[in-house]
Amino acid sequence: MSTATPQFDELGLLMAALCDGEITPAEAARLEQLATRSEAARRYFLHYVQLHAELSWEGGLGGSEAIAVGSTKESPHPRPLSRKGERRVSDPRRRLAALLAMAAAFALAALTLWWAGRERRVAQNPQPPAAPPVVARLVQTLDARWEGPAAEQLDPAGRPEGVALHPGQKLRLAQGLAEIAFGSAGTKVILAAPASFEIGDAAQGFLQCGSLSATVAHEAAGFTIRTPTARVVDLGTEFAVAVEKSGRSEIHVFLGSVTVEPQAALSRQPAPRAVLAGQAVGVAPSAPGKAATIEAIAAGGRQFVRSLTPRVPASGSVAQLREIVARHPNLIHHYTFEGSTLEEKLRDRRGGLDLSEVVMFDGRGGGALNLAAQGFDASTTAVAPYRGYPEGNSTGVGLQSQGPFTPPPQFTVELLLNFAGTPEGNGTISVAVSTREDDRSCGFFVVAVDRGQLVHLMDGMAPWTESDVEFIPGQWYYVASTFAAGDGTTTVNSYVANLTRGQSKLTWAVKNQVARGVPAASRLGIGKGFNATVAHAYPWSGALDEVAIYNTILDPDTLQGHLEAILGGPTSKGK
Amino acid sequence: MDNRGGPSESSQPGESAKIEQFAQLLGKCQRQVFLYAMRLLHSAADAEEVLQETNLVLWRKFDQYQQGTEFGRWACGIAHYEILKLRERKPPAERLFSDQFIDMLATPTQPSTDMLDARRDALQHCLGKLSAADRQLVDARYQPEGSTRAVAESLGRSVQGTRKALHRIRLALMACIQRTTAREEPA
Repeated sequence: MSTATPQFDELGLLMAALCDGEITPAEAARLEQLATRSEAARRYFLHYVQLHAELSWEGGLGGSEAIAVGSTKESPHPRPLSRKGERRVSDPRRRLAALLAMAAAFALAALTLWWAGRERRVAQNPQPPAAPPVVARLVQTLDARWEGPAAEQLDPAGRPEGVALHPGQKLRLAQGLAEIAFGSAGTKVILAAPASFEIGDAAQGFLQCGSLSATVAHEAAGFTIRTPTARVVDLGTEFAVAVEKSGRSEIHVFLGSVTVEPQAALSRQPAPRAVLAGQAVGVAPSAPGKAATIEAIAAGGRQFVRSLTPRVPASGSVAQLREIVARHPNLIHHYTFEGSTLEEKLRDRRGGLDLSEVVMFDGRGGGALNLAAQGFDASTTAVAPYRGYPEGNSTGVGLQSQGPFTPPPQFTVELLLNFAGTPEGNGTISVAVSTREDDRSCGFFVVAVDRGQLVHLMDGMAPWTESDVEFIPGQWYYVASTFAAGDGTTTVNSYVANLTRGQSKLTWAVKNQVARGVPAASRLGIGKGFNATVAHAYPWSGALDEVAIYNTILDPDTLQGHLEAILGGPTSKGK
Repeated sequence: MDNRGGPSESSQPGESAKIEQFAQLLGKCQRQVFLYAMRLLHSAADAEEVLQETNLVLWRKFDQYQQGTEFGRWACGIAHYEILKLRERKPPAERLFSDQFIDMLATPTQPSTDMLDARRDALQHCLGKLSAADRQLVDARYQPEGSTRAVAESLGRSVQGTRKALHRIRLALMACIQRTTAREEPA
């Protein structure tokens, strides 16, 4: 297709106004409307902007040698000028020189701090700073017994909760479990005895021996665990590390991904390796003169404690929910992800609308969907779609029905979900269950956006529904959303409970919100959505389980019964 | 020391090598990040602001960069977040486009560095084929501090007329670039 076709005359002239910085809000709205009408229009828009960008960067190319240098030092944070007086781009060479100066300045500051710290260590100053910074705190312990000089400080009067931890502090856990919160972003480490661990700062620690599991909030991505043989850098995830007496380290990833970098002689440093959800690696100490090696090992070959939250009463389980759901007369589709074969795991237990793996339109990005993900309890197996980084919205692997799904006029979507967070934070869209017909008509039934806010959408041009629910990364939730389609609108209700925290009462999170549009009929996406061109997009970050769709609106009492089937409770027989 | 404030303590002995590597990677990705920011912001001033903020974040997070992966792609991922932050700082009336539209613009596959280089060469070639008058118009518009309004005033022409002329030239350049890069693509 030629980009210069007459059909884009209006679009083109609006583009010209946009590039001149003189477009009005009304013209911009019209431009957006035109550019989203077709794939060809969208490509035209992108090509036009790209040319404008290239010309802006190069300063017209032919005149680059004569370009006057625009100052970039007006302010450390220069504000954009008004569109009518658009500031010009500075000379790329001058910009790079400034960047190098900036890099050198940062390096000097870092070097200074490092030397200062080094001198303190060399002098072995017995007087620590009067008020060392608090970078972590003990959250809770279970049958813990500490050893070493700090043992009493770590368990004052048998109440360890909230004990402050400082950089360089060594923890020797001889018995039991201890949960440590790092920084303020929700990063959690569970240390299992026997273990020797040193607090680094709010974003890192050193595991000398023993094992730990870590759950890292997406805004704390970059959290690092060092071991004698490896450096594990989190990318917003849940993982575990075990260090043997020999120094050999094992890294197991449950959700998201990490990078593992062997600690070896610099000259023989192997490249860091990405380890994805459901994978595990071992890093052996490097022999003299030899490079350290990373080897893939069996995931699940070692048990880690991942939660100190009191577990649910024995009377409830996910398996019990599954049984109750399977008996419901209005159930039309049921995905349990149980079974010993791929076909079994992707089978629709009720409606015959089986699932297949699908790759997002930007590719896999080096990851794979995990059909053996850990569920909320031992009675279930979950599925963890793969979401890439940094282009998570368009990179990854999810599931889609092999045939079309036509949403009934009134229906309920129920599932268990675990949101792992996204390193990118705002602007990310993680879709658990969805349909999409075209650029406008869609059914984004259960979605987490930005930091994990629960939203819904039936019209691609409409705003999301709103809720106060923000999924805490790494925690399991029960979610049920009901949809009643009307005349061009849909009434949405959502009920949520945090399973990990044992929340036994449903929260009515979305109350009779009226969403523009009606649910679209299309293939059913599980752990993925569709972009405006109906390409696979927005893979779920985390794990999903027990997805059920009913051709009726289940009442809150029934949903409460389903929750109690999982957690145990007065109505755990369900309805 | 917070390792997100710059290279971590353990990396200090190789600090100069790290700075050199950072500078090299940074220099190579500047154009790519700027073009990505322009795709979503459409304003050179905004794109430059994002580029500057992104560069700072890249330095702070350089320890997290996964060696061997495409630095430019990582940088664009960080730039995306800075773009969203910049949009959040703007009054709603200045955002022009909806979040959904911006999201849609962000989703196409980013051109590879090779593709960007090929387009740059093609643009040079196509600019060379413009008439002298058209070339002069483009150079004037894309000079530092240049704008269509300023060009129109200096030529004694209407803004609308100048805008249409520039639009016509851009269409010609787009078509030429498309033809040129298509010829260079392997069969």
